[in-house]
Amino acid sequence: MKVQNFVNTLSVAVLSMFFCTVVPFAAADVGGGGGHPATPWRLEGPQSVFDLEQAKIQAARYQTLSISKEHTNDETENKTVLIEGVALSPLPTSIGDIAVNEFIGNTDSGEPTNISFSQIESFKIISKNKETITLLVTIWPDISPEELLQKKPTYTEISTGYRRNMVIHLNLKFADGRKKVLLGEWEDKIPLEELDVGTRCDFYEEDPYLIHPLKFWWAIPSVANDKEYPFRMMPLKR
Amino acid sequence: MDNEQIKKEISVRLEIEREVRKQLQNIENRNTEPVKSRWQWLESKLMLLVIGALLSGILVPTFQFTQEKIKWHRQNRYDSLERQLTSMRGSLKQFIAVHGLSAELYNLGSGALKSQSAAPNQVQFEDWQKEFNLLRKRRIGKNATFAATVFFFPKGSREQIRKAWNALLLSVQKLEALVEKILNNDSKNFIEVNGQQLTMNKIPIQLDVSLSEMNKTYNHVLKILRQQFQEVENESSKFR
Repeated sequence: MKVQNFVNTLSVAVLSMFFCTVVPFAAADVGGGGGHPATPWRLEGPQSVFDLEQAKIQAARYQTLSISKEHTNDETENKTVLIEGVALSPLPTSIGDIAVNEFIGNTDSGEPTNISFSQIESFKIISKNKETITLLVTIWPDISPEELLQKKPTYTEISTGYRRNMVIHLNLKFADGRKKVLLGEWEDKIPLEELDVGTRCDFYEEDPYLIHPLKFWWAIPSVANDKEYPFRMMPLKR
Repeated sequence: MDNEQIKKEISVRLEIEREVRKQLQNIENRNTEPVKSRWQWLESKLMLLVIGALLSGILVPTFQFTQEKIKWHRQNRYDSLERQLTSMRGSLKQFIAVHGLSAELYNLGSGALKSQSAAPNQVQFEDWQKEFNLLRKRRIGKNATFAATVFFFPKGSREQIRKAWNALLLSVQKLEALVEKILNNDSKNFIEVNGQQLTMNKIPIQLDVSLSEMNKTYNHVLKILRQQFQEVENESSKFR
């Protein structure tokens, strides 16, 4: 009798442990699951380099910039300021203004250069004076459309490599004398001159529910089908 | 000089002396007399009685009344803020429910897209259509309920909420139009949405783009509503 009781108790204990271990994993999938990869190439990959180049140009328009709040004048309770659909625009704005989705400036050696927002992971303000601001830009994924199509890397390979830093000097004003401002689609804006030295701005720190599939131009099937690929589409439920 | 004349002279001198003494006395008396204040009447007992009556009969009740009035105003303001907070909570609930329906709409489109590759039959198409119509009906009803509750939010924020809400409606309508086209798709080669031809490869991407835009606009409205809710809550806590 005692042996039977012991066996029953042991069974209950083992079952309880099993449920305690399994349920959290099961619960994590309630409410829509992990979602499918966020990518502009869902059913089939790009057919040509031209397709990728077009997707890369388009991706620059769908970037969300997150800036640590301590470096801005934002007085809300959020720790970071998010600028969705960020572009560099002149302020004050006027009809016919064209916003650009890239940094156009000079390298340390003085050569003119431009970096598209679709290829920036983050940047840090390293110095500033009355006329210019210097950024240390982390370029990621640092891969050309040709190389991407040819090598077909996985997400693990893309995330661990294909990254380099570059210093770029930008003018704080446009040629017409108007201020350069980081402007979002909801009219959130931060003038470049208001960013303090040391500020880190990130293009991949947004809410995972708010990602735009067209921003991941580089997520060709070899990248998006990697189980480590973290950017997934999910309806916002909260 | 006879006696009579001397007597007369003495009498005159005495008279002068008496006169001088009298005047001196008067001067002395005038110097020692206290100065009468023009407010001396206030010190009278009658006046004290009148002042006492005024204080206890008018001033104290007026003070108490004013204090009660302030307290009443404060209580009223607190009650009204509490009522507003309850209504705002209800509005927020409605808003989240609306988005739940939009998320279901996305799932319907996404599910239909997956099943279409397996050649669904007529019954399946009819079921999707029924579900779609039901979702649309419920969504319209919930939209109206939420739109009617916007006036519970502070006056200054209503325009901002309406603007963001309209942007959300637009993105959901885009998604709805796309899902409807997916459900009615019989050619299987392409669908036409807003004059744009989408091949079967592009439809899932367009569906994801619509979802992303809907999520963003939803989040934008939610952010404004929460911010307003927080502000009213902070104001209400001042009256506790």
